[in-house]
Amino acid sequence: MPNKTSNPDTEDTFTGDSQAPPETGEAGAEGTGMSQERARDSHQGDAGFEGIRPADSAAIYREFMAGRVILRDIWHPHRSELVANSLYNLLYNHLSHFRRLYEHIGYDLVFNDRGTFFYLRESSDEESEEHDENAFRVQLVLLIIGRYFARSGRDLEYLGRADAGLKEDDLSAIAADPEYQDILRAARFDKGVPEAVDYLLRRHFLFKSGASQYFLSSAGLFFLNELVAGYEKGA
Amino acid sequence: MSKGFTTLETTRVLFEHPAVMFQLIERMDRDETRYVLENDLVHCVLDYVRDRKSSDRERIRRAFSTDNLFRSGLVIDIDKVRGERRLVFQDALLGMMRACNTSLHQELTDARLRSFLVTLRDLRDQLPRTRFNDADPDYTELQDTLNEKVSQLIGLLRQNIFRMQTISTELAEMSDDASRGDRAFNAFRQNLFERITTLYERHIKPTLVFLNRDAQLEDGANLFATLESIGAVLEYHHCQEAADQLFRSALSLNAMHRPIQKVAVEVDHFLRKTRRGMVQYNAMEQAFQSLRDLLDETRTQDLRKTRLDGSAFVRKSGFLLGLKGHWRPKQYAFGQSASYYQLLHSELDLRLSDLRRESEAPVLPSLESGTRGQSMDVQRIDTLFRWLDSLELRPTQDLVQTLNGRLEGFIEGYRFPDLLAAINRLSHKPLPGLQLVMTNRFRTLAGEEPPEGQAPSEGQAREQYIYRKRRVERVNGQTTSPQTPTPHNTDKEGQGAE
Repeated sequence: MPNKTSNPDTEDTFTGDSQAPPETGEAGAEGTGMSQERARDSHQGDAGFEGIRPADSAAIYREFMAGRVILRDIWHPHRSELVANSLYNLLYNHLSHFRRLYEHIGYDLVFNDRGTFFYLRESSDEESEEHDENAFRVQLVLLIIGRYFARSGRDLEYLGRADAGLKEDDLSAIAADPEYQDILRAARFDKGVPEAVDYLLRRHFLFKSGASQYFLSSAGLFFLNELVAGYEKGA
Repeated sequence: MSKGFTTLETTRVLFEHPAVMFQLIERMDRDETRYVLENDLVHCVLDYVRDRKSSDRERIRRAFSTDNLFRSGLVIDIDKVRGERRLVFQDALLGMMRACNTSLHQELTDARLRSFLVTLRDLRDQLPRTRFNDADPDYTELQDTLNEKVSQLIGLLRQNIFRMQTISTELAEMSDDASRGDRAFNAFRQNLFERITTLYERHIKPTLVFLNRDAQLEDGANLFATLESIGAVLEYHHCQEAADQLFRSALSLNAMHRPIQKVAVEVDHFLRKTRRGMVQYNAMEQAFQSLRDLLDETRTQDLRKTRLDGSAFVRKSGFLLGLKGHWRPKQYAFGQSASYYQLLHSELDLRLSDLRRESEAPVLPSLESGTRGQSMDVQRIDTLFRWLDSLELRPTQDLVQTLNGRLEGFIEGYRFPDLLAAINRLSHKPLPGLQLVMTNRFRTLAGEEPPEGQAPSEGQAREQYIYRKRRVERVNGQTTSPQTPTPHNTDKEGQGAE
């Protein structure tokens, strides 16, 4: 199983929620980072189902079906540290295979290089009302957390650190704010903050690092950083 | 003779088009006056109605005309000074308008707070001179004034706290330019400090001091001490109820200290921010403002709109577009249960028996024929009813839909109105072994599309029938399973969604 260190740095090749993750073998390759990719992938024989254990592939599928993102590093509750996620590495190393696989069953596999995570997108029904429902609810809760944190005078970076993050006091302060309550309720979080926190936890945008302590995963923090970057550019 | 509106109508127009009043109040606050120049009013109204429909324009112009405002009592005084007419609006109207727009809340200055305190102290001094009896007009008058002042004070403070809590937006606006560029930041910081300090010194700190239980004032007792001593005097004279009321007011005033302190802490944090911190703060505020706008959209009169519509919001950032949700099992119309097959068979049986009688199927006279008369209608209904009476029914979740499926395309000349008559007939006719239950759920049936390439004429326009769902149940209590849609129903639901 390849580990985290085998991931090449793609920071300068892709930006944002890239629609075009390293497209191996076929069209779409550009830049120097890309040719390295291709060399690596062809070296590993990214041809199809060979070389991938069905159990691993099924585990990835299960994660996606639960609405989760697949992160490079996930929180290990017993060791209390972030550990490399083998599923992420598998996806990364056999990207074109998995992209094709999910394309065939009606999904887009989207790779976000700066937030270092994968997620699955329903490729049909773009116009339907529910298409962006999940994305909206995730964004909404993240934004509320981010705004609360910035208003309390702390750097957003701390939201993504296991030893800092959100404490019980923070959550009860958010829960005590009537405006946040109204917004959460209008976004179908009828039980308020606990339900919203659960929603993020289940999808791996938030990790629980202690009895009542939480911190944002790289995917969660990525969204807030994007908002800040967008603001700075004057968007 | 110009048309005038009643007070209620005028108020309604004023609130329907609040921008005019908002602008006038803003101007009044800026110039620190208590009146509006008639010229200003006219200009505002003309500006406002420029791009509107002419009927609207006329209505707004009339409602906002000085005459109408005066006659309806919304302007209480017109003063002519140096050839200009000054209009004094009713305080209650201005108060309501301010309540609708946080930026119009009046700042509570030190002087205003102080005047409240002085009034309360006066009342305290006057109180012992009365006889503490409801028969004494001095006492009741004093009581009234006391209540009025205290509730006014609470109202003002509440409004002010509300205003302060939106300070984050104000701070974000103030620092907007500076936080985006490195270069201007230092020069701007000085300016920002000054503005925020003014806000803090003139606005937040006096309120905080005013509401501090332990504050020592040079000129006498603080707010709470004053209220307590009034309460003590009342209690001493056995006016327990009045004393309790005052005590409760003191409690709510005391509780206001905390939210203001929170605001003060936030301002303090803000002043210490680095550029990076400020960008983060402002970015969060900006994004949050869009959420607020979405929330406001749910607060219109439309009762159905209770959920945020986030599609535009999501697309703006593009993060996680189309994220897959939890997988949930879908309901399929096909099943393997015994009841499903039973239903399928009984449905097939009924359809087959209909088909066997196809030769007997009546032809309903066309509705469009010119020779339509009463006798024709009777004949038509009679034919339909005779066919209906010979129909065999079975338990179903939705009788209207089932019936429509069995008549449509089977009986020549069948139309939606016939269905209405048919349902009516079945509701009033005893069904052997079955009972009809009317539910409170509404369903829609849509007619066939007119043939392609043909403009729908009046007669051919697609008809829709909205009805209350009716269930047919067996009398001995055996109903059809609600989970298992009949093949016919599912088929029809698909069509209805077109």
